[in-house]
Amino acid sequence: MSPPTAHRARLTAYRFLLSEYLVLLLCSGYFIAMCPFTPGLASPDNLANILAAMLPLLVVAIGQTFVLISRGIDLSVTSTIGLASVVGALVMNAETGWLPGSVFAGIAAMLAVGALLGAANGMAITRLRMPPFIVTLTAMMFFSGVAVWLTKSKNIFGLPAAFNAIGAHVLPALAVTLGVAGAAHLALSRTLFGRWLYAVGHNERAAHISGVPVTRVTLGAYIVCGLCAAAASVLYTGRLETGSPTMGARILLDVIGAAVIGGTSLYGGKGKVLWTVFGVLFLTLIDNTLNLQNLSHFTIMMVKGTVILLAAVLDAARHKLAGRQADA
Amino acid sequence: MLEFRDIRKSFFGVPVLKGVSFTVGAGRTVGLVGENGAGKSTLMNILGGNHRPDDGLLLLAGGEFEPRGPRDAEAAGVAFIHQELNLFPNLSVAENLFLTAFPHRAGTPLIDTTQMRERTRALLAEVDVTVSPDTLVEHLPTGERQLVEIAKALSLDARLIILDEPTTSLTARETERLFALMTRLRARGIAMIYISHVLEDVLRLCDDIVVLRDGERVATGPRAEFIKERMVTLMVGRNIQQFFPPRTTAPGAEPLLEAVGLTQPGVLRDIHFTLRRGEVLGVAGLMGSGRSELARVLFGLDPCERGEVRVTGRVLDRRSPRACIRERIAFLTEDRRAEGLCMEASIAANLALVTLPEQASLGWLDLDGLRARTAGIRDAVRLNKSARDAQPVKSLSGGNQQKVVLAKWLLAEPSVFILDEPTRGIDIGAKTEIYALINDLVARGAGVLVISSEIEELIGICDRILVMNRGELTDEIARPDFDRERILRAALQQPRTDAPVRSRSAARTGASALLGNAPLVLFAIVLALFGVLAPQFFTAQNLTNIAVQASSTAIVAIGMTFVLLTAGVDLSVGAIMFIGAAVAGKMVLAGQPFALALAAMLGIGAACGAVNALLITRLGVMPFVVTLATLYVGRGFALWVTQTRAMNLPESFLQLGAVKLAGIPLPIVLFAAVLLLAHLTLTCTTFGRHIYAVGADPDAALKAGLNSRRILLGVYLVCGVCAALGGIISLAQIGAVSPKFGENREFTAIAAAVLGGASLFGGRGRVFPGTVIGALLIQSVENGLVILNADPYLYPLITSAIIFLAVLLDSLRNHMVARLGQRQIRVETA
Repeated sequence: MSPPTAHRARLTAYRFLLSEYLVLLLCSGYFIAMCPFTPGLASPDNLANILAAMLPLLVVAIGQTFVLISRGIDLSVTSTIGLASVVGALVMNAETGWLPGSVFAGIAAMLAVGALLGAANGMAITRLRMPPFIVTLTAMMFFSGVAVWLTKSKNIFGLPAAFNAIGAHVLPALAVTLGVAGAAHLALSRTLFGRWLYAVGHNERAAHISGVPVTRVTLGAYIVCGLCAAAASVLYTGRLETGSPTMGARILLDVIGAAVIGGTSLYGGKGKVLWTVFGVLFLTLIDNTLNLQNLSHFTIMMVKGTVILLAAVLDAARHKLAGRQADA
Repeated sequence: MLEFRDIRKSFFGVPVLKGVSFTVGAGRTVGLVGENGAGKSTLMNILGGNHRPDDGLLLLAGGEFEPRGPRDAEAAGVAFIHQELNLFPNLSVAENLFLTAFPHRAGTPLIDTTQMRERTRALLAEVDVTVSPDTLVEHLPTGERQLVEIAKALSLDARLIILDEPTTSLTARETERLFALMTRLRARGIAMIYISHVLEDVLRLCDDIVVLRDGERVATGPRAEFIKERMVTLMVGRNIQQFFPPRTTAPGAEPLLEAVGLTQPGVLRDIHFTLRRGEVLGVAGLMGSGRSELARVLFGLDPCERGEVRVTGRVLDRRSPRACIRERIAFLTEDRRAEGLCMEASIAANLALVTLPEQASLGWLDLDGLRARTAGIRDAVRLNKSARDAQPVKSLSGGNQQKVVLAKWLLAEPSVFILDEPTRGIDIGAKTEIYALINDLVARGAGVLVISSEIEELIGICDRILVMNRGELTDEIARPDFDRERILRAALQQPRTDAPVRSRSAARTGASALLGNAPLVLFAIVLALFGVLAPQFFTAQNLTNIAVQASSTAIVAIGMTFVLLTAGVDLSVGAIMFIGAAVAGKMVLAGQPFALALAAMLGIGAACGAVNALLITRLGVMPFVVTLATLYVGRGFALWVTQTRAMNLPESFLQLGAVKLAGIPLPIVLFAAVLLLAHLTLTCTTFGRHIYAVGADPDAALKAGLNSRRILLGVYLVCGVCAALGGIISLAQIGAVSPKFGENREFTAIAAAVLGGASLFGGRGRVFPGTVIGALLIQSVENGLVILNADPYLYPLITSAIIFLAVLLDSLRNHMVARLGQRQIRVETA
């Protein structure tokens, strides 16, 4: 038997590894360690930058968290962002818009697109019982094809200033994000839908036999995911002041990576909004510091890939550890 | 022949075997009996090399025997027939028999199928099975699968065969066939250890009997020394009467649940019964008799063509679990792990699941009320006090897990409780507690329907027993007339109709065949459509063009198929193409010979594949995440190599793409060569067949002694090299490396493979015709749309729509196959 001090040290290490604030602790540690080497990292301007970069990504990742908890995956979120952006711009742009200048109609149309695309994915997965990975993969190709076809690959300008303000300024964007995150947190922890969602992700058959409306719950998760992507599209579109069919095309891996780094499991049944916030913070922080170091974007890609892998390895280790603790 | 000498084994400090000794004489059949948890399976796991004993010796044929894995046991002539069969449904009978020792054609790595078939026929004849050696195991009924397992043992020259509960999933006739075979094997001098709960069978078949209880051998001796009652007393350790707590209440008259003429072809036939208030009604029957199916139909889980279910006299018109729960019907399923519990979720979450809606108003949960209710029910079922509410249920013992399932239903205050095998796999103490809970339930006026394969249990707790046989009720016995023999007779008797219980209809087989060839059918339709719309589509020039354009995608997709067959995925193929092209481009521009550059590209492909494989097998991270990460790192690396600038290769390099061999363009030659090699590898080599085995069932592959790590390494190597080769062809066709080189190619490759019928869940898929058709289909659509001058913006829409359609057809077929197989394969979870 090991001496008690070593045992206690190991217990502390376990508790550290198994803590749900592990990622936040890693973020803080990383931030403090990088400060001396990265001029301007802690400046108010840069902190505002980090926050601004986090917000839309967080909104998409929260939607993805719902789907991952249900033991699914949604690869089509990026195309949803693009298509919602295009449709919103088509509705409210000043020149050719169907309802020029109507911010309300534009946002409503974008959210409707998100809900509709989410429902389409959800229907194919629940009613036709197709695997989520391949459904949302083809959906990704199809939705972005529609977005490109609608615009013939051109960006749409002339959006209402009031609309652009939502995404362009930190405060309204923060308000939107906090609203989404708060609602999502309550939905997962305090509502029937949330509990049912975890049950479906853990064991769909057991949930069905226990009276959980599995089809409705799964469908709900994909609609939430589509809605979140559309909400993020509002922020992205406003920030760029253009409706673009390729908007968000590059963030797919960030979205899934952020959720997984936060601790949401690809095997379903496990995930929290707070974890996803940490995951997004982590990825954004790495992006930001590497940018401040003036590293090229390919170095950033390599580092990010490695970090995602390390996070997955850490998660696998935590799983094993948690299993061993439960056995003992 | 085999001797266990004082074997001891503990798990987590709990002794499971406390010094067990007995011998198996040469050519003798030994019956090993004992309650669940008596140590039978641990003992056999030690013999099979899955566990190492803490103390004690195994002597085999006089020598010390220390198996370190399934292969050691196999080499020593010890074979296991488990209740969960270790056959691979997607391989043929012959391949299953020779999985670890394929005969090869002299001097080649190719499997000698002729010889394999011959030897298979001979082996099948020995076990009296007459199917073709090429039949896929998934098409065999369970009984024949068991016989194939025995044939496999014979093929390995087994001198000792261990049969672990072999009859649980067999029909009566299949059981007779198995016993006849065992008699023949004994005559041939093969020793056997027969493990069964059916004591009559043990008395009938065995020469010697060994009784285990709580990890100790409590009795051993020749058959003549045993009668059933003595065996039961020895196994249980006390008189069976005290085992069932006495009931103080009598059943009432009011009907709670009535089944009226329930009929589902091939499953149930005209079932009538009534469950009364305060009554415990038992259902006896063999596995496959329809007893569990009856419960599933009652609870709305399985369809039922005719008949109705009444609850307190009212007809239940919509049958679904939700509707049943509203009528206060509860259902404890036979498979606790797969259907009863969310194993990873907490005790609290599992307890609350059924009654959650009662704790919610407008979807908002009352968390305090929830906690109070679950705390109360924990005490009522006497759940282990030391277990915390937040602890996952998988960390509980079987008995406590079962109490959690009972408790979550008891919270719903059921008036009818259907219990399917409520005491399977749990210890005697917990069993008694569950019987007491059943008594409490009926005392409160509920009705309980108990399905059990243990007749003693039914006799001990029921007021009335129904007997099922091949989907029909064959007897109904009231408590005063309870008689074990009578129940057994009713369960075993030949039913009125002798039609097989489950048959495959011809229409279904036909539809399945059509769906199975969905990609081919779609391809033909697409070709015909374009042929009609555009006359120039069917010219030799255009068809060659399609093949040339498709070759890069097809080769990458062939590599992807290997990975998908193991239930993995490789998202990094596009990145691999880019790294290879970047490095090769640099080398060519630096004046290195083309051959060296291309060789470097292939080397890079292999290296990347190896990295993927090592990360997946060594770190235990899922392929999706690993290759997502290597996709990032790889593209970043390639961008660094090129410094994000486009490289134009010299004109002479472009010529490579136009080279013709015997009049055939080089890309097509390469494509054909890769295809041939891949097809031969998958269909005719040991490596290829092992890929299918690992993909279909990794656990069974491990038990069969296959080296999964090496197979996965091989698969990702193949995929990496194919990606590099596809990159070479693309490079020669484009003549330039842009920062977007290979981007999104992983999606086309996956799409082509899935279009060709490869399953994302492993074990299913072929490169020919499958994946190749998929790649050609995608390319033909694009080509045809170009010829038709279609709006280029429509291409992705049409392509993705076709992929969606193909996947839809494939998933329809899979569900059909699954439904057909579902009710045939029963796995008992210990």
